Amino acid sequence: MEEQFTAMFREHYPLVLAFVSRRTDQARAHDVVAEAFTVAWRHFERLPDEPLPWLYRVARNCLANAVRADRRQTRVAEKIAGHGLEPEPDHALSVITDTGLRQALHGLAPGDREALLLVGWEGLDNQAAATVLGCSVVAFKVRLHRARRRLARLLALADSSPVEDVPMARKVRSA
Amino acid sequence: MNDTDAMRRLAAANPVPSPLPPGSSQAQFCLRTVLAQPVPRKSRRRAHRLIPAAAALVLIAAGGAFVTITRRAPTPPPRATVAAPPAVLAAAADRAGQPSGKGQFLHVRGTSARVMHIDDASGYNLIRVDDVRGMQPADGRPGEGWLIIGDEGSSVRPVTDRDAASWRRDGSPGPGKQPDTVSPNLADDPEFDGDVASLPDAAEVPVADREGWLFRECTRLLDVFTNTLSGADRATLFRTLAGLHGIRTLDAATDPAGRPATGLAYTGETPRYGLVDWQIYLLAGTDQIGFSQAVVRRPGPANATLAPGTVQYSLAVLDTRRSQTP
Repeated sequence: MEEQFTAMFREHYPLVLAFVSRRTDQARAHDVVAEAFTVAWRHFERLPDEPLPWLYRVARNCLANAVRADRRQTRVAEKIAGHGLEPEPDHALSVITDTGLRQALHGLAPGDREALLLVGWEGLDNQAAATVLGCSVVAFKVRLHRARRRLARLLALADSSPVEDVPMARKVRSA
Repeated sequence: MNDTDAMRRLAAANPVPSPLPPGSSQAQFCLRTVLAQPVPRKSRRRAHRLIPAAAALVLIAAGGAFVTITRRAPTPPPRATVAAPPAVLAAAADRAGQPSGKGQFLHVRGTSARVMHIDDASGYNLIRVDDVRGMQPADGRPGEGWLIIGDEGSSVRPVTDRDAASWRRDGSPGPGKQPDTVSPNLADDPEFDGDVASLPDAAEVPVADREGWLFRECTRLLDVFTNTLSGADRATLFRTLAGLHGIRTLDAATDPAGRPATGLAYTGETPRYGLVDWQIYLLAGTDQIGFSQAVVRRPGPANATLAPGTVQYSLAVLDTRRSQTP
């Protein structure tokens, strides 16, 4: 069984690490991936023939748990500090350098955004992406269709009022 | 713009465009750690199915003992191990001393990001990101290089939601004038411009934080955007770094761009920017610093509005290429 798991691990570890790295910082990504494969090892007999969507789904849940744990710690820190701390920004958005695209994605609902990222970044088909999100293929198709149209509309809006190339008249102190 | 164009643009913005290379030491460690977990029992599910209903009822009636007995104690997720900084740096020194590739000129492409404070009525912070391209004669060859910052793209984004509100009230200004340097001198360090072989020992450095100065100067000299050094000089710098106290290895096994790398950090006090964590990431199996950044641990007078943990500036080397032409 170890040989089979090792072969599965070697094939999918880079993909799962890339998937998680697109959604969180690197300090957390490796821990999340290790936890996801630990779950896969415990349930190896039940893994589907094509385990990648299942692994993505488990990694997504592990990441959500880690984020929730961090938020709990932040709330405790807030109480101790006596003032509000800045909320953690969405990592997937913060790493996008295309300003218009970042603005447009920010305007989407999280579920719609994730549907787009699963297709646009992970290259999944509808069936696999639906498995990751835990919904039916039909529901995913509807969500993706809606999200694509909204993204195009929001991109057009963002591009019509770009942030680049606007002269900055204020005094700037560059760090 | 139609939705096909939108999806194409989304795909182009993928921060990790290709799967990370397999076979890294990090992957091997992860695999070993996972396999060290309790072995899943092949017959467990089948055995459960074969338990007669009556026996199951008895077990349940016994106060949930079945559940208690078979529940596995939660195992903490495996964490990355880290190598000691001297070992990491000594390995980099060995690689730097080995013959390098062909091509007289080294072309480098990457991005530079920095926090800018805008002094309007409310005062707010933006992160400015610039595309950077440079060329240097390779391996310490004589000659001049060039560096272009922001020529192929610059953008700004607010640091926090509060900054975003102030930025919008201010008319959402853009990047403005391009910066002159890729790495600002936050610590007001005196710059070393002599021969690497004459780099002073920590005891001879004329600044308060001698180890910090050497860490910053050595890593600055190793930066491929602005410096051309021979393999022997690079090896000397790595060996100098290996001999410093106060450097620690970061837990992350990849750099912030997602590439397998070893992170090293030094935390030092600066007069204007408070307590800063200087971080470098050596790309796996190379002597190249692929990513460097300064993370604010405790803000100072010049960055008082930043929260601890904010990246004051960063520099990413995304592509290096040797050629016979400048």
